[in-house]
Amino acid sequence: MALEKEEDEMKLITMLVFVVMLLAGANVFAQGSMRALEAQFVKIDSAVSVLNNKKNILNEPLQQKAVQIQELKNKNELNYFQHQKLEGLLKDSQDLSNRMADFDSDLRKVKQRLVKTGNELLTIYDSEIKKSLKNLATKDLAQEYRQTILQNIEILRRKKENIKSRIGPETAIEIRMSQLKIEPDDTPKRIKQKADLLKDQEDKFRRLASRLNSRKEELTKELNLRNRIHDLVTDLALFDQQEEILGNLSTSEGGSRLASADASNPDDEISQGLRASESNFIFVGQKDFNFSTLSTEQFEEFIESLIEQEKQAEIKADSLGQRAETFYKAVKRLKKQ
Amino acid sequence: MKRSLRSLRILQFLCVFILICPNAEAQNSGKWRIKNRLQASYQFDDNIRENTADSLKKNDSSLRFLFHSRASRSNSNTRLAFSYQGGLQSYFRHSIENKLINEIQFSGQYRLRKFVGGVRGNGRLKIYLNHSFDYSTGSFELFLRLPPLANFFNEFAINTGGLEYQNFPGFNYSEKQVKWTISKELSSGLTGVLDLSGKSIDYHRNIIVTTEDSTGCPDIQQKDDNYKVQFKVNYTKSFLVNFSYSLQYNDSNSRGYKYTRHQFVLIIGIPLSNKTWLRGYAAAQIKIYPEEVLPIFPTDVDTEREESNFFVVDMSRDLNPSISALLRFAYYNNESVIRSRFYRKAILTAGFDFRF
Repeated sequence: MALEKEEDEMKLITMLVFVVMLLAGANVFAQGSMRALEAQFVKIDSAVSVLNNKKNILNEPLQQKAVQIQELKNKNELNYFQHQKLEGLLKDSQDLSNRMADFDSDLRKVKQRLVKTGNELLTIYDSEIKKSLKNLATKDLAQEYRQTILQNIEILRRKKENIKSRIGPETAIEIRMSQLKIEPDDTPKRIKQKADLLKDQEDKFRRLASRLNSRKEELTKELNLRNRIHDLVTDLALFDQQEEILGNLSTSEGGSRLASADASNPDDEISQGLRASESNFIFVGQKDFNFSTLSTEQFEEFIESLIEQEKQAEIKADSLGQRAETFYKAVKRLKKQ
Repeated sequence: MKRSLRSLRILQFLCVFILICPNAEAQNSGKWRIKNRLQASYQFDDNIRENTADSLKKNDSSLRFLFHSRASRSNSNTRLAFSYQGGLQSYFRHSIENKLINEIQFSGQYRLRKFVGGVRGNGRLKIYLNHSFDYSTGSFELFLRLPPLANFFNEFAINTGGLEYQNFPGFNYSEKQVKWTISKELSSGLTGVLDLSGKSIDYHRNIIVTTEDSTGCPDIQQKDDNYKVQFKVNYTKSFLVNFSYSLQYNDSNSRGYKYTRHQFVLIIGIPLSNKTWLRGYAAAQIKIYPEEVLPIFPTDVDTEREESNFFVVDMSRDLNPSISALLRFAYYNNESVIRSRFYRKAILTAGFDFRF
């Protein structure tokens, strides 16, 4: 009888363990698939950037040839050499256009994959944010955990904004920028205006990259300072004695992390970040944000996200700069003629 | 029936094992962060044998190598951290002081709703290559962090530890400790911490009893009770300052081991430029022994286990992102293994840190 009872209990425990294992497995699978998708997204996104850059490089001679063709076409009569030149230009232009079309086709395919992967990631991020918000709704949640959850939500939202900016509908400025090209009837003045507009946008992205860079530098310094002090104290503790010195450092570090008071008000911080991202502005992190509440790993993750944002801002600025240069060259050429 | 029960037990064990393994691996989306540091340095010591009489001081130089490896992984709920430090010091003339030190530390914590619980531990093995002072120490701690109360954060910990000399069992001890840490962010970057702790230390030696005529060691083990209050403030922004004051009272059933200690510690870190760092570390203490005792009973074997009054100034410069050159001066006025007797020493260190 007792043995049977014990057997029943064992079965019950086994079932419980199975259920917990399934739940944990699902969690592990979800986290693993998110990381794999993120890696895939970055890979596809860099392929898109490479194709875009190649397209931009090809676009420059195409625009030059278009200007030359238009000039020849504008003439009433063409001599034999001009006629030959026009035919050559048209042939070259056609070849370049075909190559551009090939790039466009490749680009479309890669972008479709980018959108698909991005949408899957957005769904995962949304579900993670929902989970975190649910946790946040718990009454009497400690300020420290609340802050960590809010930080995680903010990281996820930033990731979402980043994905959206790569796959989502382009902003009005981006559409305007991508549609900017030299039309056959453009005057040098008009082309220069377009070039100035591109240059202006390039400058904005350069300033953003510079701001991100200085914030990254500032935080890296603070992290380095923490690490250097840790090195000194552990050096001395290893060769001299262990108890007092180690105790001092580990407790002070832990203590500062422990004391994650809400002096910097994470709610304000995040809402500012969100407002910033809504207004098409990348969140740089406030000056007086208290990073002492972050662990070294979280600190490093934040710095890495700033580096990634800075890189993206620079790529955009480079691309806009290249196009502006092409436009300015076209203006010079037209003015010479 | 019994076979079936055994199968169930095995199955349960396997389930728990499988449950633990992927979770330890996955740790949500966190990744392992590993940092290593190798230090090679030359050191000059003007009182190599920690002699209390200045006239008997002997100096020597040594080569010192240190390897430090840290690995950590964290996410919103879990944090794991491991650290290994190895050190080798080889003297040119006093090979009796050559030593090899190994130290490991680990910590793991898990957050469950508003509570955080975890474990910390460390172990240390100091081997004198040509001497018999080898010893090992270890400690293990369980801690629980409670939700804040009026913006005060509380952590409770229980700790057990001990020390064992290979050849001097009379100085071995084991201890049990309880600790309460209260902390509060005073302003942005400024944190205040109050530590309260009490520990009971069991020495593996007999007590000392003195009468007017004689001194004896009856067959009663020495047992100390140690109470400590420590207050710390830490500021970290563009520079770092950490100051602490502690008041410690040690009660003992062995004559001469009672004491009251006031200790002040200051740590500073100032980046002088992007590549140059000034670091400082100083401590001072006042130790009062209420009982008179003949200065013949040592409190410990290894003099290096006691740090009383010292200051260390360290200037380092990054030669490239991985390599730094360092120059360090340290002056010690430490209590020797005989109570109230101090030795003085100055140490100059020059070397390189390689981070990878």
